[in-house]
Amino acid sequence: MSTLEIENLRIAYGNYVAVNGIDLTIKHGELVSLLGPSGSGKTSVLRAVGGYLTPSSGAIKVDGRDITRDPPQVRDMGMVFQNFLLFPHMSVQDNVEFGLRMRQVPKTERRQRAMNALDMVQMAPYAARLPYQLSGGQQQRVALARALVIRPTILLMDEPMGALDAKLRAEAQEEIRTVQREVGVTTILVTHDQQEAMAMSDRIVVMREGAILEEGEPHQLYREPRTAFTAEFLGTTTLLPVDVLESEGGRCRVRHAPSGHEFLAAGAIVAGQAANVSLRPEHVAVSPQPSAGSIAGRVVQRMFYGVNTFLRVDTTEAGSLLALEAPGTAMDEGAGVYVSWRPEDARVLPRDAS
Amino acid sequence: MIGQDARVLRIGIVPLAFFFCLLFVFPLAKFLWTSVTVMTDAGTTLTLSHYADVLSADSARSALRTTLMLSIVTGAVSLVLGYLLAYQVARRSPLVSKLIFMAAIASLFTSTIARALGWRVLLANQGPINNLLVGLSIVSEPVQLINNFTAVAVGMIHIQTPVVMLALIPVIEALPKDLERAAIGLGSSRWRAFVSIHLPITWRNALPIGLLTVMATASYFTTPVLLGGGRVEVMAIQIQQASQVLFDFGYAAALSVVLVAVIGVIAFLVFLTTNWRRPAGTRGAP
Repeated sequence: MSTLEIENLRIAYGNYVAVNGIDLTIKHGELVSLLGPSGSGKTSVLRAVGGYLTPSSGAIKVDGRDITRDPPQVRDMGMVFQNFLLFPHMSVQDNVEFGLRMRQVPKTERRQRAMNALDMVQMAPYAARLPYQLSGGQQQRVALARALVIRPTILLMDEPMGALDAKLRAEAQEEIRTVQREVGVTTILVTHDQQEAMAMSDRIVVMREGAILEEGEPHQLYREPRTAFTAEFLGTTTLLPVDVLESEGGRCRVRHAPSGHEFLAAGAIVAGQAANVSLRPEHVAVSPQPSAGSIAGRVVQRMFYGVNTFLRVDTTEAGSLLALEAPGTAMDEGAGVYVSWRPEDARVLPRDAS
Repeated sequence: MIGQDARVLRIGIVPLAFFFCLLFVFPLAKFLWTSVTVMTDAGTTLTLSHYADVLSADSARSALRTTLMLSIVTGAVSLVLGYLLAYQVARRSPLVSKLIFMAAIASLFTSTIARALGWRVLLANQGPINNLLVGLSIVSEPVQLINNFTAVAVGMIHIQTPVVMLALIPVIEALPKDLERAAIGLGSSRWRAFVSIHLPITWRNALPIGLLTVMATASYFTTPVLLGGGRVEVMAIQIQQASQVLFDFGYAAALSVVLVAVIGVIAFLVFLTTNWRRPAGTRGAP
């Protein structure tokens, strides 16, 4: 149960700047995801917090104490690696006890604490097994127990689902979240999987090119992203290039750049600027009948995902849009349709440099 | 296509097999044959007398002991040194690892004779080491460093260590670096991580390489001759004496067979106890 503060952290490898001055505070018990594409610097931040690399400048503090130069041995942090990295020549029990042995915990207490930790992840019956006899999901649970048994100040997870297949991943996400809440340990989760970040985190920190682009609670970031990058990275969206014609009180009149079609959208971008409008598929209504303000289009592809079905609709006025098929309707590929959206759901975002 | 490839393989093996037999199996068989035969005027007769001679001769028994001792000492020391060097190459910064690698390769490029003669200079009674020892008054008179077992062992270790290192680099690199990081993160020191994680996982793969060194050392001739000064009688020297000085080919062949047999038995025992082909990931399996 500790608070982590990262102050102006900068990490450079020779000329390459991996992390360029980030500030981040994580409250105790909070689970924060560092989300970003590869090369965004998220893993470097995690390694610096764990003590596996020395930052070029900046400070890392746990409960106010500066640990920036401490070696990893004395940091009391628990780390779960992407490929779990259980010690292959030790039983599950010995793996979990390893950190306690290093801390000279007496044998009986060691056994007890290891068993408790294994119980917590439902792996107690496998205590005598060797790692290679376990499935990926089981190995991950042992890795989690091994990290938690030392009662870490901070739990660090580096792409913990990276080595699991899709089905196990969902289960593991739920389980890790449950255990993390139960223990109440402050946690940093590094991931490039937006779905995982949204499902598990109290807060998401979106990173790009060594800097924090945006941070916030999952639903807030999803609904009100401030950058086109976040809008595209979290969930799915269609970005329309537009020019802002008028802007007043959080509403804009915009013109779709390729077609010249004008429509209303939400956002506060100064008139006269080029921008992007983000349209989430669930906000794009597709209907066989026209309605006020709707535009005509054609369904070019229908993608069935089980829970829902996505439609790719080509229009003249707004280009190619991704839409969610309304429950109980079924559109055919090639069908002529009408699409519409509410102005408040079309979010105007600044055009980014990239 | 696959069928054709298989045919190519089958045909391609014929010349290989032919030359293998002509140049290796045939002379070796002929040599072995001389170890169990005697030629008299009446013809060739089968006999075990050469083996009886070998086993009863003090010189042969002592040579076998010296050879085994030299091989095991060389194997063990070069395994330890080679392992530590390979660990540095695999884990250090690219610059340090390249330097160590180059140094090892450079010494491999130098002939064994040149290296032995180099040691003769270093270890001579008036050589730099003795001069230093006398100069620092650690000893009053030059110490006998050359023409003894230690000198031969040092020379052999110098030859074998780079080879062991090269062979061990992939073994160590196969183990993820993060495995030690995981141990260190759990509170282990670097040294503890090396001893309790790194060594137990890799030793089974390292041991056969040490064993190869033992076998390679057992048949070495030049280094024991040049650094032993005639006082370190190994099997290779005995075999050379028997075949090229005494022209007793039967005895020479029997010596060789005994040497190969003893090394073979040791190798077999070690292979039996290590399951060396098992990948590191499944270490510790029953």
